[in-house]
Amino acid sequence: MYTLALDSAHGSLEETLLQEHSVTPEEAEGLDVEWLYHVASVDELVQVRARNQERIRAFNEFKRATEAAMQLTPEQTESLVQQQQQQQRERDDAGSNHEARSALTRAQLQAEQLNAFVVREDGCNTWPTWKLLRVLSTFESLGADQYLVDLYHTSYNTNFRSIPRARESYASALTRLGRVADAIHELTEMRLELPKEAHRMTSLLLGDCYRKQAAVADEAVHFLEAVEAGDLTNMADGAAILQRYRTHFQSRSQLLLPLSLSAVRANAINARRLARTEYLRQSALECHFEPILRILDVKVCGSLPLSLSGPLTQRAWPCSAPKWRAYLNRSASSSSSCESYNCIAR
Amino acid sequence: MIATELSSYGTMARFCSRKLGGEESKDYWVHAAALEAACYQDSATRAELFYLCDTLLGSITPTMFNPSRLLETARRLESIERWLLGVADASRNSELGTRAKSLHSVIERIHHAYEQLQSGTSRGTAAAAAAFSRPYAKRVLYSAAGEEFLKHTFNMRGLIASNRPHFIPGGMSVVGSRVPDMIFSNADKPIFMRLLREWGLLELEDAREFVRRLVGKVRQCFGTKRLQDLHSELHEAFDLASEGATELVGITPEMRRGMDCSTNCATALMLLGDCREHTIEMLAFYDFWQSELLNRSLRPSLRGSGDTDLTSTRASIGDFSEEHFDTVLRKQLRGAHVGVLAPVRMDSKYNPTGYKREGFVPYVRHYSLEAWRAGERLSLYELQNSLLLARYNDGSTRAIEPYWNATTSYWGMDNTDGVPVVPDAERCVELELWNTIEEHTMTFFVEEDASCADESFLTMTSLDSGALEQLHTLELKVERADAFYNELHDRDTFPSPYAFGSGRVDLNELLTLGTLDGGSMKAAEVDDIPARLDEQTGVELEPARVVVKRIVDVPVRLKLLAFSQRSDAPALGDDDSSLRLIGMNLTNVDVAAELVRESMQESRSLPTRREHLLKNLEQLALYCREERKQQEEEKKRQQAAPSS
Repeated sequence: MYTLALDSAHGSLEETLLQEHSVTPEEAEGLDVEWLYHVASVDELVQVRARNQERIRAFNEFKRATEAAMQLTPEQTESLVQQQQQQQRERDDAGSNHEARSALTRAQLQAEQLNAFVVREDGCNTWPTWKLLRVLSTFESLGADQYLVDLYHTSYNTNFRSIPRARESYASALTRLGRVADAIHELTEMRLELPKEAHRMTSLLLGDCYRKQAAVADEAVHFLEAVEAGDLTNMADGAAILQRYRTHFQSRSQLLLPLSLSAVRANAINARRLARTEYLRQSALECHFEPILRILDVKVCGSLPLSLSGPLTQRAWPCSAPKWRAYLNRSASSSSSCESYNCIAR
Repeated sequence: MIATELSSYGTMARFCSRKLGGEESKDYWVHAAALEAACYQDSATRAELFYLCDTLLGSITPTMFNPSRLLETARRLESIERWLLGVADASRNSELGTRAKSLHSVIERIHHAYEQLQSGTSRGTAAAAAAFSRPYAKRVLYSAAGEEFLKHTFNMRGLIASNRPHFIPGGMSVVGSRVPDMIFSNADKPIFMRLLREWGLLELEDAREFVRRLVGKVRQCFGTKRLQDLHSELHEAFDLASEGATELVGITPEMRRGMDCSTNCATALMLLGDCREHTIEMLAFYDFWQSELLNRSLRPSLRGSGDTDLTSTRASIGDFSEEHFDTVLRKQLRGAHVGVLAPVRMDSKYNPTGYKREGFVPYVRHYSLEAWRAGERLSLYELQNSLLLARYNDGSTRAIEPYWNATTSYWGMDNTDGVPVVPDAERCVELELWNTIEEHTMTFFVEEDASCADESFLTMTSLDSGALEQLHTLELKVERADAFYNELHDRDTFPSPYAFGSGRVDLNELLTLGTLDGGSMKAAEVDDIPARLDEQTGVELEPARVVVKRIVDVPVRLKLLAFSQRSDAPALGDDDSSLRLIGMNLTNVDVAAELVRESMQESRSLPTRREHLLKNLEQLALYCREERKQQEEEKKRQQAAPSS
């Protein structure tokens, strides 16, 4: 059961909802080992067994329900097939991209339907942690970042919201959505609140955020340098570049973000330094090849995409949508900017 | 300067990928990381890049693989290639330019593989996809016997150091048997660390000594001495308690297959385990310890202070010792599923024919060339489970084994009315029958021996130029190091039936005899006295019996089973922060403290809490059996009622 701090200053709707949401036995989640050591009769074990059988039944039922909710209708499947055939006929320049697009559309449809199921069942208010985690994992594997963020935001289950795994997924989704400043805020809070052992990927994710910031700041520097040199041909793109810079750097508490060339340049250098520091921190924590490779990326291939796959971050199913998406994004901007890292190398 | 620093980082990344399983890993990204990291290394040769590329492509299982991963790798390599060309141009470094050219060939190879794979999978036929892997078969770096041994044994590198939980599928979820899926997650790490510290093993640096002492600790945790005799009451109690634990978490025998039944390595230590759990614990502890040993030496090199202070970063990278890493990684503990073979009489698997003395002693089974010539038959069990070794007059040997004959739908050796068919019988000078006593899971201590590297060099051929380059092969030294059947422990009170705890094995026997040396075991030489019958009526006056002549030592052989191979996979479980027991989260549990308390209680001969719990679980299993029996009877009654 939740133990609520009955602090009248925080006596909000949230608390009322939490009180109403009584936690079912399965949410107590787990077999109390200390109790097991003191069991006096088999009857007690028989009761636990019956409860656990109930738990398994509930889990299987929920699994079936979510799978059924994500099932595409015959019309949707038909439309997907037609779309794929159309793309195959066109044989666009990116070769077999039609497969990726089709997989992505399918994943989007499934995520939409799963989200509708969560809303219909009032999942965010009533579901226990294990159900929410399962849905979170499914959203993650489908690459439905926005739905994942919404689920985390709107859930009243504080237990769920405090699980490091859920918080990391949330921060990671924020980064992918371009809300880098928010992601940094969440990850920094995690670092302050949680014990050291719980920081499994925090440094890696923070490193990614800073690296993304550095890339955006570099872009802004190029634009501002051009403006300073009197080149005003790129003003239309410039607005978008500066807006992107703002969303990546402006924190919740910050009202004004200086846009002078020197400030932006300083931010770019600082972000790159921070990224490297975070990757080094992650490397020293677990001596894994992935953070080391990212240090190399920062030094050599600064413009490589952030959606790096690999054992540390790849939590989704093998054929997940994020990878397809990354692939599509890459083929869309096929000429990568090798100049920037050649500059660094020199 | 920067290229030198990056080369050091590349070397570190390669060692880290080796620490995570290296070439044996089932994880695509480990192979991709090794290849990528090698591109930065000054010392990486063209042959090495091609070798790593082929290992990467050879690791792909076409039907389960998302081809876009190859594109991701190719794209990352292209970035490195451009950087190499840029630096080579700027610094007029021809070596870097050559490496960039080699890299270009590697990238082309990956693109080619991508296209092949893409066309194979889009056609959707298994054959088309399987055709893909042929040109990229993994190249051999070990001697043929070594390669055969490695193929059928496994370690837990990668599984231990991974940030995501990994699991080894057990029999419960696959075929509905006893062993649950074993999982190693973040929840296990602090417990393993604490236990190793508590046992005084963490600071050890000698791998052999570590294994020797670890065997004792693991045996103590599992109370192994009471389990070695499979026919004892104590082992029956173990089976019952195991059944009770599965029932407790709500899984009935019918529900076992396909069920989430992951059990943390740490949890198993606290409860129960047989040979399978012993092996997994041994491997987990060993690889965890080895990983910690390496991390300790690597960490100072990775504590750089960012771009602003390059001097200190370079100084710390300078501390990194490749030699130390290499020396540590050359020693491994490897697990294997083996068939235990010996010339003893068998009723059925796990049930030899024999008699009880202090322990169970099986009878010797003689089957020689003379017996074969006299037309002596083999039993059905022997035809279907044994190995017949034929030795020929030219010194060669041939293993005659059961196989699946699709035309006759029969599993067994070729035979004529129970007498096995021996090929080239006229040249045969000796026949040996090795009966399978049981299937067992055990560990071997393996050391790569660079000093006796084979003279025969492996030739690497690059696709584009036809140029030849060479890599040398390595020899393996292998010793038995089993924790379960270990003759070095409890030899006076509970002696092990087999001597799997020590002794060197000759890997070449895998090629000549098909099996490895498993030491020896005690068996009884007997005389068979046939039944005495009444000559007129044929009535049995005295039953057939055996008379034990003497106890002898018979040799034991170990056969690496076909399914014995690395089988770990990422566990996509939801939350890996708590310990699990057969698919259920545990609360209020402190494994390390419990084990320490238990060893104190045992040293004072006090009853332990585990004993109490296991007794209760036995009772629960009996209760469930009874309940199921009643339900079945009730069902039968109900079915019978309408018809009556």
